Amino acid sequence: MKFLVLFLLLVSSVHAKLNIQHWMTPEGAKVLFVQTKGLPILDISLNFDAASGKEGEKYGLASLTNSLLGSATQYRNEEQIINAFESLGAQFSGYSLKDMSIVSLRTLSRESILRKSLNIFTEVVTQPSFKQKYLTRAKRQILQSIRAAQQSPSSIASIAFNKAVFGEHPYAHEAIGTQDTIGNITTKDLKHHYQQFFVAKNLIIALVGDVSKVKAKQIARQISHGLNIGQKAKANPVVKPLNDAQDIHIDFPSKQTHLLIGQTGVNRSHPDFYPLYLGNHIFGGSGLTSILSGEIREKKGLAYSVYSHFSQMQSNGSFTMKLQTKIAQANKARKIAVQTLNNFINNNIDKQKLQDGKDNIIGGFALQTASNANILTYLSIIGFYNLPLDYLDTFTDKIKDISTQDIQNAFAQLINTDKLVIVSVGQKIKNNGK
Amino acid sequence: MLKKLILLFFALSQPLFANSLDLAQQGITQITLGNGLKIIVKTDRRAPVFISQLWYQVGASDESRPTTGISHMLEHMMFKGTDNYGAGEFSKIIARNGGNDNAFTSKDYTAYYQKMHKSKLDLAIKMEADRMRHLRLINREFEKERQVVIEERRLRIEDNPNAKVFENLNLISFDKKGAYHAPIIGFQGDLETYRLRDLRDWYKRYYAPNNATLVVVGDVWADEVIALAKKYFGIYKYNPDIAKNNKPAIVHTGKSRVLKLKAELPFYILSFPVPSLKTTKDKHNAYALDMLSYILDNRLSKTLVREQQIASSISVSYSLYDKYNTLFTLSFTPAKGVDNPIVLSAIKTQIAELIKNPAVIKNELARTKTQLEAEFVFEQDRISTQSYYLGMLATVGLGIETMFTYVDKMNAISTHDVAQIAKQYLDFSQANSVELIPQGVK
Repeated sequence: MKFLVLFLLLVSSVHAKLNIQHWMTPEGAKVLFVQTKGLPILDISLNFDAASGKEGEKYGLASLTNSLLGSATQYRNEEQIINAFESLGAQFSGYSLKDMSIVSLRTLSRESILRKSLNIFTEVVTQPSFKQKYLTRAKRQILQSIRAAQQSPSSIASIAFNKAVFGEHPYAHEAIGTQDTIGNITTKDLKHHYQQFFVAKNLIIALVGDVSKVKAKQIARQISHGLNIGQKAKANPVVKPLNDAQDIHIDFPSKQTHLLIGQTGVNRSHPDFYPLYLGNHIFGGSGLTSILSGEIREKKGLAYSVYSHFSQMQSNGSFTMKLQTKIAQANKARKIAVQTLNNFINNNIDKQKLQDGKDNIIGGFALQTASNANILTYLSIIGFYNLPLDYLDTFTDKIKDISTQDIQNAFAQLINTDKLVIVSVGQKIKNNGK
Repeated sequence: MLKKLILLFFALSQPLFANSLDLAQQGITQITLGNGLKIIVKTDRRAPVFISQLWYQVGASDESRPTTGISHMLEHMMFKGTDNYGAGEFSKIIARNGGNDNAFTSKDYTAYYQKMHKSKLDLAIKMEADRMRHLRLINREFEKERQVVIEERRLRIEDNPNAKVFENLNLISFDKKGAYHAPIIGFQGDLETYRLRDLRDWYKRYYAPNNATLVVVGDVWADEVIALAKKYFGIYKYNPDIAKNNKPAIVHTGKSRVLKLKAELPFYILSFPVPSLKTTKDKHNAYALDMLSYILDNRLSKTLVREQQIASSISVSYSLYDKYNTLFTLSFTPAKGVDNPIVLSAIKTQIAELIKNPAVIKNELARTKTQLEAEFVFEQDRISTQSYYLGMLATVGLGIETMFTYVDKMNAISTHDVAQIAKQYLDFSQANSVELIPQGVK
C-alpha cells in the first residue's frame, strides 16, 4: 500500500445535499434520520454522552458498561442474545470512546426481520442485566488489551502524549482504563453509570436506511420509550492550555522511534474550526500531497507514515503530528517536523497549495456521504456535537473563501511552537542530540 | 500489501439473485478489448461518485529471491512520475480534482485505484492508462522510496510481534522455490539490494493490457467507461511475452518454530495445508472449508473464549480465493496464566466432537448461512468493497460469476460436509505451528 489509510471516526469533512430529518422523541432523545434507497438495509447508531470523559476516577467504567450491553438482559443470557442477532443476520456492536458511548445495529430492512432485530436490540439496550461473571471476564479481557498496548510503541506513545497534553482533564486517560483502576469496579458501579447516563435525554439516535419517516419515528420511539428520561450529562471541564514545553522519551526495544509532536487543540464549535480544518488538510492531513509528507517522506524518505491531525471533540482536543522512523534518524525527522510546522505558521502558504487543498475538499465532497455507513457517522457527529443541520450543505461554502491569512492567524493563535509536547518511544540514542 | 479494510468483509453471498447468473441483471458489464485488457463495469447510482481500479496479475507469489517484494516496490514507484508527469504529480492531480487514490499489493495481484466525483472519470482513466506504459524510473526517486519501504517493513513487521509470527508461518509452510514463502513486502536483505534495472524488468514484463483488468463501480455508464478505456488503453499493444506464471505453492507439513520476542502477550498459530477454490478438484470442498472456518471461529470463540475462558482471543481463517494451494489457520492468544497445550487440547476436543457428531453444529450452520446472506447485502454499501471482489476474482482467474453463486454454494453445505472436510484436512500430526514466547519489552 502506498500509504497508510486511517480510519478516524473523529475526522471531520463532508458532502452534498442530504435530506436530514430530525425530531425529539417524547422522552427527550434527539433523532436524526436520512432515508436512503437502493439497498434493503437499516443502520441505527445510539450515541450516549456516557463515555470515559464522564466516568470520574473509575477509569474504564464507561467502557466496561458499554461492553456488558449484550451480555445479558432481564430475559436472556449471552448465548441467547448472540443467537438471536445471528439468526436474523443482524450485526450488533458497541464501543466507547472519550465522548461517545455508541451502541449500533445493522439489519436488513425487510419488515419481518427488522421487527425482530429491533426488538432484541431494544431489549439489550434498555433492559440490561449486569452480571458479575461477565464483568469478571470483561475485566480479564481489558487487562489483556492493556498488555497488548504495552508491546506496541505506537500505543505507548499515544498514551503518554494524551497524559502530557490533557493533564488533569478526563481526556488524559485511555477509555479502556488502567490496570490499577479496573480491579475495583463493581457491577454496582456499572448499574449506576448506566442509570445516570444511558437515558433518553442523554441520547442521540442516528438512523440511515431504506425505511419511511413514519417507520423511523416508530423505531426511535420504541428505543427511547424503554429508557429512563433522565438528565443530559454535564459538560466536561475545560482543557487547560499547556504552560511549558514537554519532552518525554520512553525507552522501548523497537527498530523505529515513534514520534508524537503536538499541543492542545480545539473543540468543534471553535470559531476558527474551518481555517484550522483546511490548514491541517494542506499541512499534514491529505496523505502524500500534504506539506509534512512532502518534507519527511517525499523529499527525504524518512518515514512511511507521517501526518497531522486535529482530534475534534466536546472539549478542546489535540493537534498532533505523528511519524515513525529508524532510531538513527529520529532526531533529524523530529527537527524537520518542527521546522515544517514553524514554516507553515510563519510564512505564506503557497497559493497553489491553498487552491489544491480547497479543490480536493470541495471536489471530493460527494465521496464523504457515498455510503450509508458514512452518512450514519455524520448524523452521529452532527447530533452529538450540536452542529447545525446544514453543516454538510454549507461545509464547502465555508471552505472556499478562506485565505492564507485566515489559516496562518488561526494556527498562530492556537499553536505555540515553544510549548510543544514531544513524545518519543524507542531506543535511546547515545549522545542524545536535542 | 495490507488489506485492512478488506479483511473485515471476507465473505460474499447473493440472496436476491441467487439463481441468476445474468450479470446484466446485476448492472454489470464485462468485455475484453482487442489488446487483452479486461473491463468490468458495475453501475451503482446511490451517490454521484465512482471508484476506478486497475488490477495487474502480478504479486508476491510471482517473486523469488533476491527480488522479493519487488511487486510492492514497483507499486510505490508508480507514483513517482512518467514521461508526461513529474514525481508525485499523479496524486496531486487526482487530489486537486477532488479525488483520493492509493494502491495495494498482495500475494496474487497489484491494484491501483482512484475514488472521485463522476465528472472526473475521463481523468482517472487517462492518468491510470498513462502509467501503464510510460513510467519513468529514476534512481534518485528509487533510493528514497527504498528507504520508505524499509520503514514500512519496520513499522508493519519488525516492530509487530504477531506479524512476525505470520511471516514465520509462511516461511516454514511453503518451500522457497514456490509461491507464498516470502513476505509480500519482501525480505529486508532483498529490499536493500535490488536495483532499478530489476524494477524496470518487472514493469516491462507485467504491466501490459493483456495482464490487467479495469474495474469501475459507481454512477457511470458502461458505454462511457468502455469508450474511455479504448481511447486511453486501446493504443497499447498486446504483449506476447508475459510469461504465464506457474509457480505453485509447495507445501511443507509437520514443521514448527518457536519465536522468543520482545513482547508481552503470547501468540500461537497452527496451519493445515488445503486447496483453494482455484486449485481444488471439487469446488464443493473449498466451500466446505470456508464454511468450516466460520463454524469453527464461532464455536471456538464461544467455548474457549466466552465459556471456558482459557483463550482471550481466537481466530480461524481460510483463504478461499488464493491462486495456489493455501493454509487453513487457527490462531489464539491464551488467557493469562493458561498454557498453550491446554488451549490446543480444547481445540482438538471441539474438532473431534464436530467430526464425531455433525448434528451438534446444525443450528450454527443455519445461522451462519443467514449471516452470509445478510452480509452480502451489507457489503454492497461500499463501492470499494464491490470493486475489490470483482477485480480480485477476475485477476485470480475465478470469474466474477463466483461472487453471485457464493450464497448458493454455501447454502448447499451440510453438517456432514463440514464434519467430513474437517476430518479430511485438520490432521494435527501434519500441522505446522509457530509459537511466540514473549520476553517482555524491558
